Amino acid sequence: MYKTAKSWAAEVESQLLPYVDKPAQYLGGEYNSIEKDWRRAAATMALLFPDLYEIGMSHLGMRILYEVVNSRPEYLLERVFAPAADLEDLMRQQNIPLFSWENYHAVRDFDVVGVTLQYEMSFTNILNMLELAGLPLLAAEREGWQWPLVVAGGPCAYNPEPLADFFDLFIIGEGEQVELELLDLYTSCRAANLSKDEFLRRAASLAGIYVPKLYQPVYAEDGRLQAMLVDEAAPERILKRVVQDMDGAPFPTNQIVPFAQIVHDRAVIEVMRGCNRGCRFCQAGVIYRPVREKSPEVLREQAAKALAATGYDELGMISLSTADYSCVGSLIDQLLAEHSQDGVSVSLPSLRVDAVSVGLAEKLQTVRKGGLTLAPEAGTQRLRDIINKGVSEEDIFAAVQAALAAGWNTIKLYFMAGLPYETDDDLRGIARLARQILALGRARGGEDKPRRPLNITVSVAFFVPKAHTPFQWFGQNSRAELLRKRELLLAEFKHLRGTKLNCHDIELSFLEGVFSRGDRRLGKVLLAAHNLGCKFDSWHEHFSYDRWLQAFEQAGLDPAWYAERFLQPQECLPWAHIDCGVSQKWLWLEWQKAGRAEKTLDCRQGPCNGCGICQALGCDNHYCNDSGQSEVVS
Amino acid sequence: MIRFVYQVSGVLKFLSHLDLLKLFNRALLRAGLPAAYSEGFNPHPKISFGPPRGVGQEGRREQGDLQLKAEVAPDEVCRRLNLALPENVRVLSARNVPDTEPALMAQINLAVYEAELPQRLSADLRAELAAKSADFLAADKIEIVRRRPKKRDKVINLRAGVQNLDWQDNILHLEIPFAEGGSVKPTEVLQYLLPPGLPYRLARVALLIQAVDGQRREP
Repeated sequence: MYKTAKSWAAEVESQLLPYVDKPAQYLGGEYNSIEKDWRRAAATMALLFPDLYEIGMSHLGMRILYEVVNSRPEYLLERVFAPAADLEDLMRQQNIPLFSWENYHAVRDFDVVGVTLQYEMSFTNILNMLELAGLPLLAAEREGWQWPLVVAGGPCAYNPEPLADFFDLFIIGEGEQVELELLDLYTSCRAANLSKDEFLRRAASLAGIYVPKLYQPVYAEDGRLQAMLVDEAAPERILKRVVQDMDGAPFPTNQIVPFAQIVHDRAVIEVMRGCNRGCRFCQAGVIYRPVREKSPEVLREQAAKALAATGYDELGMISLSTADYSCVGSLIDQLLAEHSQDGVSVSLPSLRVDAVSVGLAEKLQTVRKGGLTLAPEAGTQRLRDIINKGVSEEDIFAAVQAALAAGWNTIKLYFMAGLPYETDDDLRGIARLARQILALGRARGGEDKPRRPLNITVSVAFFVPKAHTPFQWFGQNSRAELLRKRELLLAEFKHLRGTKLNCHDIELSFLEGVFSRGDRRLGKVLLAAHNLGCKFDSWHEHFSYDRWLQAFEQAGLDPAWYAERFLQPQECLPWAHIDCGVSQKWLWLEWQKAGRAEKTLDCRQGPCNGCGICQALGCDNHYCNDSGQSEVVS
Repeated sequence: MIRFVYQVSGVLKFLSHLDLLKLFNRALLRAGLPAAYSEGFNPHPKISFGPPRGVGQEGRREQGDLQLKAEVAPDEVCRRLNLALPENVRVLSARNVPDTEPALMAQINLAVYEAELPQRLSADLRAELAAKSADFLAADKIEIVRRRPKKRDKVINLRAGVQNLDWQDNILHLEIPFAEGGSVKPTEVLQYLLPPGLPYRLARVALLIQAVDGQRREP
C-alpha cells in the first residue's frame, strides 16, 4: 500500500496562524513529537482531543497512546485538538479542514479517527470537530471505506449510549493493548478487501470493543429502557480491558515538550493505576480498579529518562491518589536526591486529607508556597460516612495544623452539594468547618507567627451521579433545590471574613447529570445542540443553557427526566452492557450501606469487601513494599 | 558570561517571547549545560534576551546572554545548544563577555526590520509605495490610533517612532528606535504604508547599539 495525503501546512501558516490569538498552540513539531512517513504506514490514525491544546496536551492517556501506536513501525498516529473560536471562524471562511498537529494532514485523510472522551460537557466539541473535519456526523452516514473509521475511548465510554449514534465503535477500558489489536484487525481486513460491516462484526469479538449498532435498545411505554437486543455476532456484555503488568507497560519517557504553555507543563511519571478507597460518588475509583502500583526502580528510571529527554524542571507523580502509593515517601526522597540539584521540583496532583499527606507536600514545597488544597467533600461526619470519604474531623484538623505549621497561608477546600441524604445541616457544616479552620489559623502562634492571616477558599461542586458508581441510582437534586442550597451556602459564608466561596454552575452540572446517566436517544439532543451552535460548554464564556433547552425541546426529550429521576433497583440501566468488572450487586449493596451511613474500608487496610474486580479480570491488586519488592495481594 | 546570537525562522516565528524563554531554559537542561540559577523562591536559569519581538516576525540576529556556573567554551555552548534546540531556532555564534557588561535590554536601542513583499509588484504600486514613503519621511507628525485590548485606545505619532525607511526592490528596510514610552510596531508602519491585503514576510534583522553620533554596533 502506498498512500499520500496533502499537507495543509502552507495554508495554515499563511492564511490562519498570522491572524489568531496564541498561534504557538497550533504548532506541531514540538520537541519529541514524532513525524512519520505517511507513504510507508499500513494504517494512519488521528487522535482527537475535544478541547484546546493546553488541556489535551496535559492529558497523560493521550501521550501513552501516542507512544504505543507510534512505537509500531507500520502505524502512525498524529494529534488533533479543538481550534479556539477565532481559528475555527477562519477555517470555516477559508475552507480549511480540521488538521493534525504533526503535518497538518486533514483528519478526513486518516484511516482511523479516535476520540478521547474525558467529560460529558465536551461532547458538542466532538461533533463540531467531526464537522470541521468534513465527516458526516452519524456513523450510519459514513458507510463504506470512503470515510475513516471513527472510534472513541476514555472514561465517558463507560456510558457510551448518548454518543452511540456517532461512533463506529468504542474501546472500553485501558487502550494500550486493544488499540494495537484494533489496528492489526483493521489492516488485515483492509488487505483482505473486507467491508466495513464485516470489519465491525469481527471487531465486536475483540475483548473490550463495543460496536453500538449491534446493540439495539428497546424502550417501554413510560420511556424507560426495557432491554438491549444484542446481535449474535456480539457479546452480551463488554468487559473492560486493563493492563496487568504496569511495570512492563509502554510508557512515554520522550515526552513532547509543547512550545506554548499548557495547563500541566511538566514531565510526568504514572506511579500507579486505580484507587480502592471506595468513595461512593467517584467513578474513577470504580472504573480504574484494581490498584496496580509500579515498582520504585521502574519509576526512578522513567523519571530520570523523562527529565533528561524534556528539560523540564518539574516532575509530576501522577495517579488517582499518589499519597496512597505504598512507597511514596521513600520514592519522593530518592527523586529529590537524584534531581533537585538540577533545579527540578517534584509535585503531586492531589492530596489526601491527613497530616501525613501534608507532610509529603511540605517535603515537596521547598521552594514555592502556593495554596494547599484539601477535599473533605462533605461538611459533616455523617455525610462523609454516607459517601464513604474515609476522612474524620480529626484528619481534617490535623492536616490543617500541619499546613499552618509548615507555613501555608492559603488553604483551598473542595466540597460537594446535592449529595444523597444531604440535609441543610450538612451544608451548614461546611461553614462550621471553615470557621473552625479559621480559628486554628488565628490560634497559631510562636516565633513563626505569619504577618498575613489565614485565607480559605471553599469550592463547592454540585453532585452529578455517574454510571458505575453506588450513587448511579440517585436522582440529582432539582435545579431549584440546588439554587436554594447555593443561596443557603452564600448566606452562611457572607459574614465569614477570610473565606471565599465559589460554587460551580448549576445548569452545567444539571446537563452533565443528563448525559452521565443518559441513553441513546440523547444523540438527537446532541445533534440539535450542535446545530444550534453549542460548543466548549465547559468554558464559561461559550456555555448557553438556553440553546441546550431548545435542543431538548427539538428532540422532544425532558432533561429533568434523565437527571433527576431515581432509577429503580430492577430497572435496566442504559450502560448495563458495559462491564467495568465491579459487580452491579456490590454497587447496589454500597448504595444501601450509604443509606445507613455505613462505611466500607479500602481492601488495602481491611478484608476483601467483595467488589468483584479481581474475579472478573482474573488479576489482583498489586502493591509495592519499601524494600522495592512488589507483591500481589489476593 | 556568554553572549550569543541566534535566529528564529519558519513557524517558530509564532512563539511569544515567554515561549522562547522557556524553550531555551529547557534546551539548556537537555543540553546538560551547567546553567547558573537565580536566587530566591523561584530559581530560574540566568538567561536573558534583547527586547521582545512581535509574534509572527522572524528573527535573523537576535541577542541573548547566558550565565554558567562552570566554564564552557563558547563554541561548545553553541554546539550543545543547537543539538538540543528545534531546527527553527539556531545559535549562530557565541563569545565570552565580562560579567560587568550591561544587560542587553539596557544596551540595545535600535531594531532593524525587513519586510519582504511579493516579487512581482506592478509599476503603479511601486510608484505609489515610493511616494507614500517619501511623504512619510517628509512629514513631522503622522498620527494613528492604537487599539489595545481592555485598555483605552491610544493615539501615537508613527513618524516620530521611525528613524528611517527605504526600499530596495521589493524589500522595505525599517529602522525603529526603542523609546522610553514604548516604540512603534513595524506592523503599524506597514499597515499605514501598504494597501490592505498585500501579504508580506516580516523579520527583525538586527538589534543594535546606536551612539549619539550615529555610530552603530552589535552588542
